[in-house]
Amino acid sequence: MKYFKLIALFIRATVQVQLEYRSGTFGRAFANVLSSATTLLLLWAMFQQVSSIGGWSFDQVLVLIGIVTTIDYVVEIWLYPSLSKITTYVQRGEFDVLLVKPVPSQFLVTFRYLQVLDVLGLLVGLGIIGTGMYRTGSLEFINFALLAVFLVAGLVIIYSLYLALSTLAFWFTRIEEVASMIWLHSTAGSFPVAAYPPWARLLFTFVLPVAFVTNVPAEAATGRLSWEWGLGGLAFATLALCGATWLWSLAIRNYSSASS
Amino acid sequence: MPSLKALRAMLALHYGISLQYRAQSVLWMINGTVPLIMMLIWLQLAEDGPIGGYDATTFAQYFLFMFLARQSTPTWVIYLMDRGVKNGELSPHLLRPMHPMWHYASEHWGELMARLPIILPMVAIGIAIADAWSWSLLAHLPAFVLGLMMAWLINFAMHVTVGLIAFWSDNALGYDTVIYQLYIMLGGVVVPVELFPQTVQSILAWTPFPYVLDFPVRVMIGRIEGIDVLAGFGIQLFWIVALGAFFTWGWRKSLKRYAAAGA
Amino acid sequence: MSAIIQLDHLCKDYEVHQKEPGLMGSLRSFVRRKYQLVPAVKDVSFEIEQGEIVGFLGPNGAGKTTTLKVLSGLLYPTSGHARVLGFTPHERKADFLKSITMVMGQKQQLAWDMTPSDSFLVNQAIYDVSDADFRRRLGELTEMLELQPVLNKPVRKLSLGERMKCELAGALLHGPKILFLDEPTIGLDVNMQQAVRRFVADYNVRTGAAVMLTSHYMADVEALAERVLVIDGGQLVFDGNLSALVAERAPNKVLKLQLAHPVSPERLSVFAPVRMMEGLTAELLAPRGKVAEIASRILNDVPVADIAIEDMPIEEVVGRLFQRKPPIEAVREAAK
Ligand SMILES: Nc1ncnc2c1ncn2[C@@H]1O[C@H](COP(=O)(O)OP(=O)(O)OP(=O)(O)O)[C@@H](O)[C@H]1O
Ligand SMILES: [Mg+2]
Repeated sequence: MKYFKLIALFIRATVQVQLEYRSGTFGRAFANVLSSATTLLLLWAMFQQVSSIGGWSFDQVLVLIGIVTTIDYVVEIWLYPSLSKITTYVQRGEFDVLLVKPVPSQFLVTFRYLQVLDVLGLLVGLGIIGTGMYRTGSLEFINFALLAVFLVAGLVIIYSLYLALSTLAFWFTRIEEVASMIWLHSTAGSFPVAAYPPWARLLFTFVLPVAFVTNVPAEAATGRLSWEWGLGGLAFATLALCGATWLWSLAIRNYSSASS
Repeated sequence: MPSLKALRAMLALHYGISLQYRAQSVLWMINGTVPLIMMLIWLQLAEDGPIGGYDATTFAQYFLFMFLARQSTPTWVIYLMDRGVKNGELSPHLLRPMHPMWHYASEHWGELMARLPIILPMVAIGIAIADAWSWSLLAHLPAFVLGLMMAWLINFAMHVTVGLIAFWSDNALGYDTVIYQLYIMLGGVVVPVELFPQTVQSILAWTPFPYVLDFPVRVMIGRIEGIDVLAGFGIQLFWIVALGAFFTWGWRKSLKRYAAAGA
Repeated sequence: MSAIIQLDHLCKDYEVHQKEPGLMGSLRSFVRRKYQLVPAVKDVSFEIEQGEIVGFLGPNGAGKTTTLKVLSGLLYPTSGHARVLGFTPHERKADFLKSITMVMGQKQQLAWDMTPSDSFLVNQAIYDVSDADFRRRLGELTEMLELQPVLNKPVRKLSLGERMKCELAGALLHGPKILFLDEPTIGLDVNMQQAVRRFVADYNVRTGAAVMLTSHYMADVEALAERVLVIDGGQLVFDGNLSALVAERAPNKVLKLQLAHPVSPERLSVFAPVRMMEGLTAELLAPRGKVAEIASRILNDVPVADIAIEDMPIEEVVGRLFQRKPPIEAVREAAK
């Protein structure tokens, strides 16, 4: 209960800051809509030339784009604002302030900045998913349920990766550049993994796992998910979350013992 | 207009600074890999035969030089202007007998000098792997370089013009994303402009976007030739002058609103 | 020759948006933003001649920096005119910018990641300074400000004071005819403060440059400026000689007494208001005309071991100007 209250407080504080910069809010919303529009334009242009990409039809890729858009906005309004501060805390030595609070530090760094004002982009993403599902004729309850499950799993993977990369800041100082690698998922993940040459498929499954983050939810939404990939996605998400949490606790232990 | 000696000194300074931030160059490279990712996709698609006149070799050449063009033209000047206006970091530049844009531009050029030695070998390796070399490329090189230089100016002029928003509103960075999206998406980084539907192409022809990335790249791979190259240079020049004039006018208006925050 | 700096009825307003506290306040100001014009400088006029060093005093937020920013061309005046060396500053002509300099606190004209020498070389090129001039000036600056050990260290590794010294050096390499110095000694230790003062005074004598200087260290002003401008709440409240300021605003002299035996303050206050009393030392305020008379009455009446008559410290004179209270009240408060 206390944690929900804290999250509400964090949101409130972040919103207040956001309201200060109002044209920034407008500009971002405009940019979000525009970027979705241009992405769709490009997708349409591509399908003027070819009939399928990696065996996926236009409507199936449409769902994929919707999922990338959705995940992108979650990263933009939540993960990036919160997790990118880790490197700043560490560099400025402000970490002690977090550690003395009677709340787990991972919770604090995860939920501190939730820029809920930018939800518009999220709606655009969900709208694109819905349109794609409608056009592929897969508007069924089971598909929605599976989509929800694997979208969350995908987010968990992205979160874990980002957290793990940012945690490296405790050991390597100028890590934020590397951590911003996380944005690659939105380009690489906009296409079916099957559209890449074989060596790149391996890369995008196990190293930068866009296969699990974007492809699996899109397959789930269109009722094409095989149980192997489904189980693989859930397993990957669980492992990633455990790994990132473990790395975090290791970093915190190191940090406290080093600074005392 | 600073003297050549001043330009050289500023370039040397910023080159020195960039060398200290190799890590940042890595970031640029990662963010600029979109053309390479798209090359993988299109190569795979072209396995069953050419698409819209582009065969596998053309795709490889297009996206490798697109990668080079993309890496030669990035700008973060809106970010610099936003910070300059908000924190008053523009003040020391305004006190110098030289337009502050010279300072920003030389920062970009110095950084470019540090980045190109990493990028050029990557392009060469890419061409070798994709087996996309042809001697005709060499003949197009001078026109490509000239086109890229003009492209840099168009892109910079576009961005500084949008950057003027920083004087009028509290956060110009949102618009940075807008212009960046257009520059990437409509420039041919994802889909070669020639493969756009005809109507879209004819609308785009009225905007500066295809002249930043797509035009020089097409000149390089020989898909624009003869008199059309000259016409393209003419249009590039037009955009530089038009955007430059608009910026100069806007700059004068905007500066009145500068509040020189700080101290 | 006429004045090289002329300021004529300058007003400068800043636009700031108002925000009420709390989430609802934020929301309201998001929907309808209220802007308010904050006048920072109100109708200020003055002239400065070639070769003058002028101290520009005033409490925090008085409008000193704002005035200097208008004079150096960073800000457009809201109304009124500025003319500096015959130029209108905000037009920012290259010839104008080459003849002035402005030093503001920690404003970075030095490249953070490079050494001061690197930045100086860039400045040389930008301001078209000949090699001979550059070497000579840099030599002088290096010697006077003791820059040698820091010239080739990255700026980000310098201490606050070292950075300030380098800023100052970088701002003077082009040999400006007018120096706008906004708190140039901030963050410097006492020795360096003196070095900077000596340097500015010397520069002024050798080149005949005009200097306008703000500082919260009264010692800077005392050492450098004959003339002072005092600004408060955006309005010019005094323009004249430092000694005239003291005479005008400090009608009292300070009588310092060293007592032989303890005496109650009440007994002393019969003669004149007591400013300070601590053990056997006491300070009384005596009006200028009656100092001698009061002193002799005290000597007759009270066991005094030693007596001295001094002017009020400048800090207090100026400080009192800012408080805008009638002097007598301030005296009463001090006596309590
Ligand atoms: N950029 C700005 N936007 C809005 N208000 C400003 C701005 N700069 C200054 N002000 C306001 O204008 C007034 C004058 O400020 P100024 O910086 O000129 O004071 P100052 O005399 O230099 O004070 P200090 O001794 O503290 O440096 C202050 O009330 C300040 O809050
Ligand atoms: Mg000030």
